[in-house]
Amino acid sequence: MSDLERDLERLGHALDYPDASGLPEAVTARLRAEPVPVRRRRPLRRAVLLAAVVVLAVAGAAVAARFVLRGVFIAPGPTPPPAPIGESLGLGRSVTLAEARAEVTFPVRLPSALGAPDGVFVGAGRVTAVFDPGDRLPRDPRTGFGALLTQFRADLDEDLIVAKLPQTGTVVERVTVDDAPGFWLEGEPHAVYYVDEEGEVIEDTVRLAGNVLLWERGGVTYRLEADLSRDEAVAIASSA
Amino acid sequence: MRAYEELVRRHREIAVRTAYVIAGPSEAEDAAQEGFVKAYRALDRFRPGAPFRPWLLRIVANEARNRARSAGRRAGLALRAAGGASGGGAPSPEEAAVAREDLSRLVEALGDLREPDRLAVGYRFLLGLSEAETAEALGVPRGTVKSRVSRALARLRARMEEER
Repeated sequence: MSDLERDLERLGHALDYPDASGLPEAVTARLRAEPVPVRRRRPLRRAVLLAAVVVLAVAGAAVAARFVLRGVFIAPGPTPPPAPIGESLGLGRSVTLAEARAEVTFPVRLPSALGAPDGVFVGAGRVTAVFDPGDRLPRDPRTGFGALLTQFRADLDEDLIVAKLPQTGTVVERVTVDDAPGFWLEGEPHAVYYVDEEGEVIEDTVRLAGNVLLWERGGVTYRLEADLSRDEAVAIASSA
Repeated sequence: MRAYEELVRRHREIAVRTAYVIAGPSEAEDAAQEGFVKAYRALDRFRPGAPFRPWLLRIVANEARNRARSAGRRAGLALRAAGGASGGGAPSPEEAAVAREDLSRLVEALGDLREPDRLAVGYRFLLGLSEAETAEALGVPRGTVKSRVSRALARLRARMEEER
């Protein structure tokens, strides 16, 4: 680095920048005060960001989540998941449960209420167990499965913050799963985003989510996606 | 909306500084604020997986540029009051005075650069963005960043030398 470049860096530190401390509150106040112009509705697959979930993820999970999951998807269920969501389920490689357990650094937990999974996928530090539709598990039209349970190493911060963008019908609710903190997201499909320690926005998955229960236990975040009511989902989650 | 507030918190410094380098002290805060509001409304056009910071900075920079243009002013950067500058160690008053003198001349020289060059060199060195981030934030290829930076550095160097 030349002297000039070093001087420029010094200058960068010595400039009299305006104070930015009040900016977050000021921006929030603006957003609350000014109605958002109505936008045209976008097709489902143009994945409008309808709700954002901020998770102060641990670095490892953040790195893992950065990968775009592009595994070849093999539908183990009787009904292939609908396109285009099915194409982008992106769950990773199809493996056995034992292989999945060997591959990740956290204990893989499964809800006893759902029985044995009908498929297990692993990719980018995440394990996803899929469950076929059954008597108590309606087929989720968004995924083609009865339930999808994804787990990955990440802390849901105590102060996990859920934001609901305007003009959406997504319901965001704080819940507890046993004693673990969690969130229930219901309503219109939404994309779930995490914000890592550097403030980067990371998409939770490459697909839209329907009804989702998110909870965290022991540094592992669980995400149950199923066409169930909140209480049904919490009951299943509590058996994990 | 609290999630977005958290994002604003994480990026507020760099946003205000970017706006300041482009538009100067009078417009910096407003430009940054407006940039964040516009970015929020454009979130559905953000490509997840792409870095957020340069995307945001591009919006903030546009806002700052428009404000600077309509105000018809150049950036007018200012050094922090003496003693307020950060950095380790305590230089002697003489050293500090010489250093400030150099930095003031550098501020002036920066002000004379064409805006694209000033912005490229500002992102890279004043604000410490990587070349890739600078390219994203400017919406130009990395090669263009390289050439703007080297042209800007050459001009600054010439200016600084002719005044010595």
